[in-house]
Amino acid sequence: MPYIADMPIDDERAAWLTGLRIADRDIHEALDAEVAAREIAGLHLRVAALHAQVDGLRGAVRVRDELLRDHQVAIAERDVRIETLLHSGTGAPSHTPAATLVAHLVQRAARVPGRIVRSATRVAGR
Amino acid sequence: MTAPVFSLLVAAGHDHDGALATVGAAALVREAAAAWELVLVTATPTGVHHPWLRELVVPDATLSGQLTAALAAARGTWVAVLGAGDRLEPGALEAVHSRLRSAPELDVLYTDEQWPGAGAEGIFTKPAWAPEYERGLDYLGRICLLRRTLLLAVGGFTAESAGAEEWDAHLRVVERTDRIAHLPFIGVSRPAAPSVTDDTWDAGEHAVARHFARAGQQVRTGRGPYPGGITVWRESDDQPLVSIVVPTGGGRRTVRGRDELLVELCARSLVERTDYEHWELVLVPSEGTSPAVVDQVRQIVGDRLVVAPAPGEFNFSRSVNIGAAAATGDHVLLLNDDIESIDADWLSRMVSVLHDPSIGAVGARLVHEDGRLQHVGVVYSDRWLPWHALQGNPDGFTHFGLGLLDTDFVAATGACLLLSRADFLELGGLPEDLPLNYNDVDLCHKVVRSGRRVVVTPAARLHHYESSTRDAEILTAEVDLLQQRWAWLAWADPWENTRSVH
Repeated sequence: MPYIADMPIDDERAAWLTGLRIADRDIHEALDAEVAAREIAGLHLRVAALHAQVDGLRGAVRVRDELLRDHQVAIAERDVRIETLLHSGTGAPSHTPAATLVAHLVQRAARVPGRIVRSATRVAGR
Repeated sequence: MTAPVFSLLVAAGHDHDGALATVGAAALVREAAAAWELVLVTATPTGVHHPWLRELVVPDATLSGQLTAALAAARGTWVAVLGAGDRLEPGALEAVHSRLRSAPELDVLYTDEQWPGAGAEGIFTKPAWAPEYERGLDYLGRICLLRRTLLLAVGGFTAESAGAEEWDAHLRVVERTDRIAHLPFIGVSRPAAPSVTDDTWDAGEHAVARHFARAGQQVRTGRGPYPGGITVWRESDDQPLVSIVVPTGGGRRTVRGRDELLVELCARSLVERTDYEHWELVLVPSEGTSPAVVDQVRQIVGDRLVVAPAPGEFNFSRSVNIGAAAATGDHVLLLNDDIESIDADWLSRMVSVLHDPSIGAVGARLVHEDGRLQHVGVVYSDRWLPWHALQGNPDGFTHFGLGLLDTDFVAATGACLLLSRADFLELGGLPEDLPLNYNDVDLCHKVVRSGRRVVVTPAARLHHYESSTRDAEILTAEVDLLQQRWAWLAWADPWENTRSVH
């Protein structure tokens, strides 16, 4: 193609291009020498960030465990209360005011743990 | 209680419900021996007491006044603002404490955050430190721990920042330090997305304008295309000559239903849809390209054309380098021949961004013919291979401003990439041992290694009729060479944490 032959890169362009290629070579050689140190530094940072995330997840698990413990305690308290109320109401006529009171108390007691859990989850924003 | 490591500042004012929600959540997640305190500022007492809670009653104070009072009372080495109603996430402060323990030199440490929203809309996974992004949107947000002495040294929370108190403080602190780290952990749940009103948007714009004024850069600011976001134009009387280097093999393809010579479309868009006037076109025809192609381009651009043929087997890097050698401009713009401008201000925009001396390379938003995103920045995939953020999503799709606002990346595509010609020479241009793929990534990584930044400005928008001229097959040797040189930088890709949205 004639236009290629007519327009060779002149000396100035050739010198510029040579300088460019030398700069590229020098940078990559310098980089080769520093890659190991940079990789180690980079990995240290990644490990530190991951370590922090693990600590965060452990913290989240701790909170979850505390909520579960509270939940279990509330359930146990409810069960004991129901047992007590049922026991104290044994043999009572089913339609007397006392029997109605017992049934009401049992229902209220059963709602308490649910309230506690709902309250806790509301606080946690879940 | 021993001196707290950090103090959380809550300016609740009259919002007792919000204050109680924040304190209640803090009580729930707090470890017994945790070394942090919560400084609560209210207009009237809440009546809540905890050993780690200090309540200051400051009637009728502005938000900045409340934050100033809280900051004055804080004892922690670091401080962070929470909003009334914000709930600390379980484990977040353990993660923060752990990170600070391993890097006590940090001046700024910020976490991810969330608020109610459909799907993942309210889950703000954030990049590692991306200064340009922070200049367009206060992505540091919450929880953002700032070294207390540094915050005090830059003036704390100021009255002039009303409406953008936190953003203003963040900008003033990051001007003084580069010891900034991101902790990829959801730190806090806000009760709702950050509110953007005309007033807060204006306040953010003023905060950004003040930031640039302090930096000594003359800029024009305006509202960006993302709610609350700001677009910045760096102003200069200087109109540098841009040498637009376009390698071509004279490829054709069907565009808008017509068979087109791609480089002709490209050249025509330079003449007809480019409002920046100081440019020349350096056409680099590869061996075997018909002379008629050059003639057609010359007919379009006239005496602005410089022809620098690249003999031998096609090597994209060598072609670009030959073109840059023939260029006479102050800047070189690498441009594929299958690109056509959409908005006329694309080149003005890119030149404006490059006025910032800390920025070494500027990329653009590229869009497929069918309107899907092709490029808004290069990120690394989970196999540590370069990939394009948000690629394939509709133009305008965003992840908290990503793809709409200027942001930092470790690389941008060489299909449209602006650098100063002096920097291009200093950096060795494109590596000719990567003839086809990843040469642009290598060049951008050299920019980053040199201490300068790579920024993509989506306000510069062009069509890219990609891979219409050659097969985009990637060789194992190219991958190996890239990873051998740059794995360490891939691991530092700021957008790694947002992979799930790419």
